[in-house]
Formats: sequence, structure tokens, C-alpha cells
Amino acid sequence: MSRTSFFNRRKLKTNKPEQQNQTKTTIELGKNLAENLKNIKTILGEPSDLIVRETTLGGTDKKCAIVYISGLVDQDLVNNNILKVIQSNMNEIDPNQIDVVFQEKIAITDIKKDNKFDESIDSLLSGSTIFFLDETDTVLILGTAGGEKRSIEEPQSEALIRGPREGFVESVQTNVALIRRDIKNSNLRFNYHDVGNKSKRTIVVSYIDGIVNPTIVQEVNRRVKSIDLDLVAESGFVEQWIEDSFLSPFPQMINTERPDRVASSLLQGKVGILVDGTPFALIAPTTYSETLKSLEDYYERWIVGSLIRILRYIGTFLALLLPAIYIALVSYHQGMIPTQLAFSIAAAREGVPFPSFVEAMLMIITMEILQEAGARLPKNLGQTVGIVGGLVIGDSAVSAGIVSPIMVIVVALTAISSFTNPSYSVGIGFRMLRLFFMVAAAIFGLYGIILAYIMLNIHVANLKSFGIPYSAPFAPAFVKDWKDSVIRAPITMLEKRPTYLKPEERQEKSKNEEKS
Amino acid sequence: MPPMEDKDIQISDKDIIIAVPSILVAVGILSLPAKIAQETISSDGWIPLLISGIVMIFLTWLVVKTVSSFPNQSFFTISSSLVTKPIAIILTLLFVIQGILTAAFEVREIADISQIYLLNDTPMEVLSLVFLLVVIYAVSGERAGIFRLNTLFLPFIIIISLFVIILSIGWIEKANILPIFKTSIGGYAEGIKSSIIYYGNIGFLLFYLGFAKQPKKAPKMAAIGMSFTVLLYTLLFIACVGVMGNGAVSNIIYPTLDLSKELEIPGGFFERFESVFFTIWVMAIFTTTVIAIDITVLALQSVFKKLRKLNIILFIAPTVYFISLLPKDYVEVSTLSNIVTVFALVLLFVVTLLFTILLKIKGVK
Amino acid sequence: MLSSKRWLLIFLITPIFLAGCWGKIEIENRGFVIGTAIDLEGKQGNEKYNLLMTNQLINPAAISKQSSGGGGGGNQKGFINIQDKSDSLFAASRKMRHLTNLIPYYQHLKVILVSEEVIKEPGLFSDVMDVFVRNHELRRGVKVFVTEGEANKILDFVPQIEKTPAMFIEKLTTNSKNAGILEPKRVDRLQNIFIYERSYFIPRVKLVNNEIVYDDAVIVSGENNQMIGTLNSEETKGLLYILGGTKGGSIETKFDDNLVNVETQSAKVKTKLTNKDKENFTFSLNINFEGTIEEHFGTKDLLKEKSITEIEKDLEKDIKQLVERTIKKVQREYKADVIGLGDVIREKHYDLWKNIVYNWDRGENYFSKSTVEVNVKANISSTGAANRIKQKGKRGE
Repeated sequence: MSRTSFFNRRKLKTNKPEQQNQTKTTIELGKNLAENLKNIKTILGEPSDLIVRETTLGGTDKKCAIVYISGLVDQDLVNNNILKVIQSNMNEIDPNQIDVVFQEKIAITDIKKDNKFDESIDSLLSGSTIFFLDETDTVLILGTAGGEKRSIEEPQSEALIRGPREGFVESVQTNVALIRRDIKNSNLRFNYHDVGNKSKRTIVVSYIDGIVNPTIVQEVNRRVKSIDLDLVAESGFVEQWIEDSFLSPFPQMINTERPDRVASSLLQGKVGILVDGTPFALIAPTTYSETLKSLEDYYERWIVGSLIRILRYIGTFLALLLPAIYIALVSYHQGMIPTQLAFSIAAAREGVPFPSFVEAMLMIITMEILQEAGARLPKNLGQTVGIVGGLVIGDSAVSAGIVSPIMVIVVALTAISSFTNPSYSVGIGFRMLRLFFMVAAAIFGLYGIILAYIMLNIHVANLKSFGIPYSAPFAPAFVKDWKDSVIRAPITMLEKRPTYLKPEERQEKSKNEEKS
Repeated sequence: MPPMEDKDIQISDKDIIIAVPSILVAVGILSLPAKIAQETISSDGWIPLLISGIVMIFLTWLVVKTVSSFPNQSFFTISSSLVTKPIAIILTLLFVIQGILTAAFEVREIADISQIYLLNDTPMEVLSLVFLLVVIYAVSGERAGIFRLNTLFLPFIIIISLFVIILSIGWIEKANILPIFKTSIGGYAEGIKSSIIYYGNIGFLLFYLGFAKQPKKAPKMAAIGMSFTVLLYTLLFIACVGVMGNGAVSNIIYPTLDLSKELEIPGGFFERFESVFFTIWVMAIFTTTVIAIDITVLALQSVFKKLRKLNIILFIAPTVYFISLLPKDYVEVSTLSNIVTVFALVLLFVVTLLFTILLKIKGVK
Repeated sequence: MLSSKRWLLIFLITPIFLAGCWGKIEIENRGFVIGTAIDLEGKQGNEKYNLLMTNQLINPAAISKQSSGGGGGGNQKGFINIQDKSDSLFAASRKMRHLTNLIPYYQHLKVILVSEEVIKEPGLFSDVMDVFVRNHELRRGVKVFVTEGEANKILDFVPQIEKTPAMFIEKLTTNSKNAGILEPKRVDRLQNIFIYERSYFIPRVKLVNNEIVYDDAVIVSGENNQMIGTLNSEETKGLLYILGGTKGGSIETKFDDNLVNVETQSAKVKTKLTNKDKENFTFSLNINFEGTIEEHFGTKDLLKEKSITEIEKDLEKDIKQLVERTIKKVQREYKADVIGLGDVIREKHYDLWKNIVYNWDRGENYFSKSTVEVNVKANISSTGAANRIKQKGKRGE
């Protein structure tokens, strides 16, 4: 219900085209070279990194110019493949024929003819070089985008012990190429969208035709097109704009830095969304069980993979419920604690001035502060903060009698457990929910916890990611998908694609079998 | 099936199997062993439990078969075409009453039991209010979500029941089980009478059949779900009597909870297992209550087509809450329980008889 | 639609603020009662008793502190006993709330000690137990013992290893299955016994020379829940073999005039009703004993078939004697069926049982008139790691 209204609001926004074109020039391309160049300079505000190289077409007196922005282009390419060619002997060619120059001379593959001023400026800003010829109202847009780029490195946020070491970079072209390298399939599709009012960003929706459920692709494309932002700075903007429910603590898309993860998801019948300028790609749709999977589960042998996955479920359970259960047991249900343990908890809590809820809150908030502080600091300092915070504060809080030692164990275990979640954004969601459970436990004990748990389940049962129930494959039950959920069955048994995505082609291996 | 459409939900075969125990398993089973043990000698109670179960499996199969011979039609349209519109309205409204009463009873019981086993000092009114609010939250979501919830919760209920049953095997004493088959015919009849009412709520299923994806399979699926429930009840009864003895069971108010109280978990991780058991059991009670209220909404909507779901809920919820507060003590709660269950069972019998006979007379279209 | 959802959300959140934290009592404010002793202080007129209830509360600080370090709370006692008198236990326990700053909490109650004086009053024992079965706070596995003399004296006993006497008794009897001693009665089992008015026994603890001794039992009549006698430790041992399932107890016998000590590995019992005549029921009680030799003072070769058979013969004789003594005592002296013969009739011959149930161990008392034929079959399964440690004639080699 809320989703449809949410989309209605969004549609209203996109229906205001006058805002979007505010900055667009109405200037037409003229035939006069000097005038065109002047126009460009005034539009861009005569920046010093705008390079205008005026010259004559080799051997003739026909005037021409190449315009580019230094830093955005590959300088070698401009010098060797454009400038040299133009200045070389062009006697035998009719200088008026820009087509000839376009087709035969300039040694660049990505080349485009254009006669619109604003489009050429857009491409100029994204690293193209523009070739002007005097007395012509057509320009050539030469794809020379280059400049400084980060090289492919190991992903920082998703380190694996075993697995490929390459991660996405900020350039969407490179990222597309990385995916292409992983999936050498003619059905691999990339839909390009240029999005953003003040600054264009390329968003690429990728999928494999024939595997993916077409309705999902349509929906993703529709939602991406509806984005109405000045600048799409990061894939997080895309995610928040196109997600199903903005009230949910759960991310409805997975973000990843790993091309292999995107590739394997595409082969399962999902859609990848790449955004220029960020190494984080999005994978949609996703389900809850999907967020607890790591690629390493598949790279390791299946027993190891399954056990680690079960461990992650336990970790999530602890991260979510441990402090709440502690509060419930210590404040309400002391009878449930094993007798000897109950006595030692009672002894440890003697002298602690706060009720267990306040005690737990204090420690949890301290833990959150430490985590946040550690994340923002340089690596080396971060470790120091962790040690000082975790060890020193924890220890002295106990000896000062502010908290009980058992509380410190509970909080530490909770914090560590929350890191077993392979997805950082899911982990954050659980950290919020943990507080909710703690409040519920403080008021109603175990009864509160179970009601909170039921509420969480209600939310998950109603949540969808691009039309796929978030609780799949458990509910609705797709029994065939269970062998890759809590456990990870041997790879030889995982030959079928997940059925909950309703892919067009079920058999994952059929193509390979045809070949062999 | 395109995944984007969620307006008109569809229920798969599995959903029907799961829905049956979700509808039936609730607070009833917590006190059921006592009621049956009172009528029978030593462990003989499983016989009436099984007989009434088989009767109800057959009845369910029959009524589901009748109703699902009208594929994709709501209960109201089916009954209108079979028994004229005024009677259809009355029948549907009777189900509304059943839904409200059942929900009220469950809400009341959950508050009472959690007051006994979990929170001794929290007022009953607050406990039931909080529970009811969570139920409303679930009902106000989409209907497919309720079926997903059933699917999510049933494994917990099965696991905890199996856990109790398996753990109690070691505690069962021969003297509590023997002698067998010594109850008189009258005792069995009484036993059947007091056990069959625990299956009456299955009538709720009729309203969901209109959404069934494969209506032809529905009778079989409903019967499977019923058999599962019957089996669960029977096993829990045997475990209760086997561990505690007929004499104790018939004099304990919630024998199933006390059974879990007896058991000690190996390893001693948690003591007082009955608290854990009841905590998990809240889920079972929850699904029943959600379905009861959802059926009420569905039934009201089928008669009064213009009513909006949320408005109905806002009207029903206070009613349920008010009724749940009416009984003053446990004896009155038991009376309410008897009224609700007998009402549901009689309604189910009436609907089954009416529909089956009229369908025979009019013939399938 | 969104706004109505918001309304719902607000609806859901508000009760949380309305709610306080009813009944929230932090663990350190709980007074954990782990043992309760019930004594009879005297009668007030007829039918009104004055009961003395003693609760043992633990002192968590003293219990969980490691004894190392010496200083501080090392000498603190691990428990506090508080007591109050009233005519009902519930009233007494409520009165006790004034005696300590802690709120008495019974969920960790482990043992209930009832003095013989209480059980000797007809019907009082079952009345006293009512509160323990009725109250949801209590576990159903609480162990019930009878004490010789005043029950609260036992709660004053300071054990050597455990910190509290209640825990000591609890642990002493937890391993009863493997130590050849009686399994304690659980309070929940008593409910069934009371309802069916069966006669039963309750293990007894007593203080002897400042030591807790746990080796005998009292017999209680099912008719009015009144104690009718005791079984001494030898008779209790016999009872163990009749009930079967015992393990770990040792039994001595002579072999070639030297002592042989055999540990019980298992003792399986099968009882059959062989004569259905009301006036002369005959039961055959077959005990299948299996044991291992743990100690042998002689020099004979134990690995020989002959010696083993001889030991087994002796054992059979000894066990039979033990068992018959116990049976004789409960049958002839107490006339109360605590050895489960009635159950045999009930389980196998229910119609017969229905006829005699009110004259079984009361009224006509067919129980005391019945005959029990005891057959013991002993089997030595192992002689331990060595055959013997002394050997005659070996020196001459």
C-alpha cells in the first residue's frame, strides 16, 4: 500500500521538465568556427583547464580546432591519434567533407557526429574531445575519455580469504568490462541510463537475457528512469530512490565491490546496477537469506560453507537477541537461568547501581560509539581506539562497579556476532533492531521479545524487493531453493537456478552441457 | 506467474497444508490433555482423540471438496448460489461471530497464561492489548503476508513440539501408559465429545479456498494438514499422560505446559523449559488469532463490499478486546472457550451438511 | 493509506510508554530460596496445626566468590535461614517477607525437607505438599525428603565442599541412580500418588554425628498419607533390587571364606501374577542381576568357570535374602504396597484390579495375604583388570 503511494509522489516530481532544462543552452551550433569556440568558452566560464587548439587542416588553409578538458582525456590519444592526423597532409581530401575526416582519418574508434551544442558540451565534460571545422555546423565527438584512474585493487569492504582479488573501480566502463570478462555470453545485456539533473551520471542496468525474469528488468529500468536527483553521487542514492520500502531497516538490494559476486548473481537471474563514479554495484532483487550469503561459501568446500553459514545465522541471532535475552532473564525470568549461573550473576550484579536495561544500554551505546569512531579513523588509529575503548573502558567500568562483568561479556559477544554478517548495511539494520528488542525485553521480558520478533517477521513477510518476497525462499516455501539457504549443498547439487526469482531458464548448466 | 502482481493473492498447495495447523494449533492443545484424561482411563485418551481426528479429517475433506468445486469463488458467492442470498449472509455473519469470539478467547488466554508463566505482575489487560496490537499490525498488511507468516512460524512450532515429545520419551513410565483399552464406551464417547471441539475452527479455511491456485488439490492438502494436527495432538497427549500419569494430567490446568516444565534440557543451558516452550507457543496462538481476525475482515468485506479493510479492523479490534476482558476468572474463560468451540463446530457441521446436500441436489455446474 | 499506517504505528508505540515495568525485579534483589524445611510446632486444638517453615536463602556474594585470596568475604556463610510459624505454609512464606530485604523467590528451590513429625499426622503431608504443586513458581522436579528429627536442623548443617546444605543434599542425591541409593521423590510424582492413593516411600535424611546420612526411607500409607514405619538401610537396599533399574551399589559375599565385593551393573526386574485367587495372590519376582567384581581378598583363580559360578550362587542367595526381608517387612509389618505389586495387577489384569482396588493394601488387605516368590539370577560380567594380586605357589617357580 505504501509503495504505490510512494511511487505516485515520485511520478509527480518527474513531471516537472522545466526545472531540468534550466541550465541547457539554447545556443545553436553555428558555421563560424571562432563564434563556436567563443560560445563554448562563455558557457563553461572560460576555465583554465579548457584546452582549445586551433590549427589548420593539414596542408590546407581550412581552419579547425580541437577542444577538450585537460585531465579528463587521454593526452597521448589526443596528440598522436587526433592532432597528428589533422596536421598531416590532407591535400587530396575535400576539406569541406567532415564525413571523410570522420571516417577515414582520425584513428579513434569511438567517434560520433553531432550537431547539437548542448550534447557536445555534455560529452566534452565527460572527457570527449570535440573537433570543430570552420564553416560546418557539425562537430565530431571523439571518445578520448581517460585521465587519472584508480587501478583495479582488492576490494576493501569485502575481503575474502579465497577468491579473486579484483574489485570494481570508479569508472563504469572498467566495471562493465570486469563483468564482461567474467561472463562471456552473448546474452549479457547492459542498459545505459544517464541520470541526474545538474550532472549526468551513467547508470548501467545489467542482466542476462533469457535467464532473468523480464518483469524484474522492466521494473528496475522503470525505477531507475524515475530518479530525479541533481547528482547521483553514489549507488546509495540509486538504492534509496528505487527501493521498495524506505521504512524498512533491511536493505532491499545488496551492494558489492566484487565483480564475481555481480556475475554470479546475474547468472542466477538477478539484475546488477552499476553507477559511474563508485565501486559499489547493486544487486536486485534480494531476499533475507541472500544477505547472509558470502561468495566464499561457494569457494570453500560445501561442508565448510554450510557450517559457516549456520554460524552466521547463529551470529545474527546473538547480535539481535542476546542483550534482550540478558535483560529479560536478569530482570524478569531469573528462574530460567541455571541455578549456579543465577547465583553468580546475582553476585556480580550486587553493587551495580543501574537496572540491567540501563546497564545494557550504557554498554551498547559505548560499543556503538567505539565502532563509529574506529570506522572514521585511519586504520592504525582505529585499532588503538578499539583497544583503548574495548579493553580499558570495559575493564575499568567493571572495576568501578558501573557494569557487571557478565554484561561486558554479553556486549562484547553481541558486537563480535554482528560482524559475522557479510553485509555491512544489513549489520547496521540489526544494530538498530537490537535496541528495539532491548526495549521490548525491558518492558515485557520474554513476552516482549517474542512479540517484537513476531513484529519483525510481520515486517519481513510484507516486505518485497522488486516484487520478490523478502522472506523467500522460506516463505513462500520454495523447497527446491532450500539447499542453498541455511546450508549450502554440494556444488553438483546446485545445478538449478533459484526458483523464487522465477527465472526464464531454470537449468543453470544446460548451456555448458550443450557445448560439451 | 509474474512476480509483480500482489493484488489478488494466490494460495499454493503448501500454503493450505500449513494453514490448517496454523488455524487449529493454539491454546487449545495446552489444556486438551486434561479434558480428555478426565474422561478416560490411563493413556486411553489417544483413542477418542484419534477417532475424533479422523472424523474431522473426513469432514474437512468433504467440505473443502464441496467448496472447491467452485474454483476461485468466495465463500459468500458459493453459499449465495447454493442456499440463497439471505441465508448466505447469515452464514457469513455467523463466521464473523466465530472469528471475533475465537480471537477474543485467544487474546484472553494468552494474557492469562503469560501472566502465570512469564510475567506475574503485569496486568492482564496490558498483556492482551499488546498482543492484540501486534495482531492488528499483521492483519493490516497484505493477506499473502499472513500466509508467509504461517510458513515462517510453523517450523518453530513443529520443532518445539518435537523437542518436547522426544525429550519426554525418556521420562515416560510404563505404569502411566498401562493398562490400555480399559475405558468404557461411554468414556470414549465423552472423550470424543471433548476432543472433537478442538478441531471446529477449521471452518475458517473455507474462506481462503477461493484463492487456491489448484482448487482440485485443496481437499487432499487440507486433509494432510488435518492429519498432521491430529498426529501432533495425539503425540502430545501420550507424552503428557506417559510422563505425569493420568491422575496428575486430569488435575492440571495446562498439562502440556507442565509437561515441558517436567523436562530438563540436557546440558542445562536453559532451565524452566516451559517458559521457552510458551514463548515459542505465542507464535502458534498468534497465527490463529491473526487468521480469525482476517477471516472476520474477509467475511465482512464479502457481505459489505464497500467497507475498507482498515475501517473494519478498527471496528473489530476494540470488540475483540472488550469481549476478551469480559470473563472474570478462569472458570468463565473456560465457559467462553466452550461456547466458542461448540459454536464453531456446530457451524462447521451445518455448513458441511447444507453444502454437501444442496450440491448433490443441484448438481455441479 | 500511508497516513492510516502511520496511525497504526503510533497506536503500536504508545502502549510502550504507558507501560511501566511491572514486576521487574532485578536479580540481585531476589532472595533465592533453595531449600525449605517444614516442621510441626504443635497442634492448636483439633485439625489445626502450627507449622514452622524454614527457608534457606543463598548469599550469592559468598557463594560465587572464589575462596582464594583469603581476605574479604572468605568466612561468610553461603546461606541464611529464615523461619516463621503459621497454620499454613503460604501464610508463613508471606510473613517471611518481612524478615529480609530480599524478595523470596522459589523458582530455584531444590529440596523440600519434611520432618517425620509432619508425616506422622494423618493427611497433613499431602496438605503441606499442595502449595508446592499448585504454585507455578516452583519447578516440578523439586526433591522431597523426610528428616529424622527436626528438619530445620539439617538446613543448619554446614557441609565441607558445597556452600549450602540444600545444595549438598541436592547433589548428594542427583547421582543416586549410579550410587546404589534410592532415587529421591519428586514433588510432581507425589501428585499422581496422592490422587491414586497409593502407598509410597520417601527417602529419609538424617544427621548422624554431624554428618548427613542418606540411606533409608519411610513408608507412608496411601490411605491417609500417614507414615507407618521406616526401612533401615539394609531393607532399603532390598527395595532397590525390587524396584529394579538400580546401578552402582555394591553387595558383599563370601567366596572361599574370603570377601568378594560385587558392584551392581544392572538389576532388571520382571514381576508376574501367577495366582489370581483373591485370598492368595502369588507373584513371581524375577531379578536379573549383573555385576562386576571390584574387590577380592582371596587368592583363588577368579577366571575359572567354577569360581564364578560359585560367586554367582552366593550372590543369588544374598540378594534373595535381602529382597525377601524387605518384602516381609512391608507385607507383614506395614501392610503397605510400596513395591509396586498393585501396579502389576493394574497394568495386566485391570478388571481384577477394579474389584480389589479398595481392599488391596487396606480393608481386607489382599496385599499382605499374597505370596511373593523371589527368583534371582546373578551374572558376573567382569572380574576387573586383574585376576588376582596374590597367588599361592607362584613363589616356588
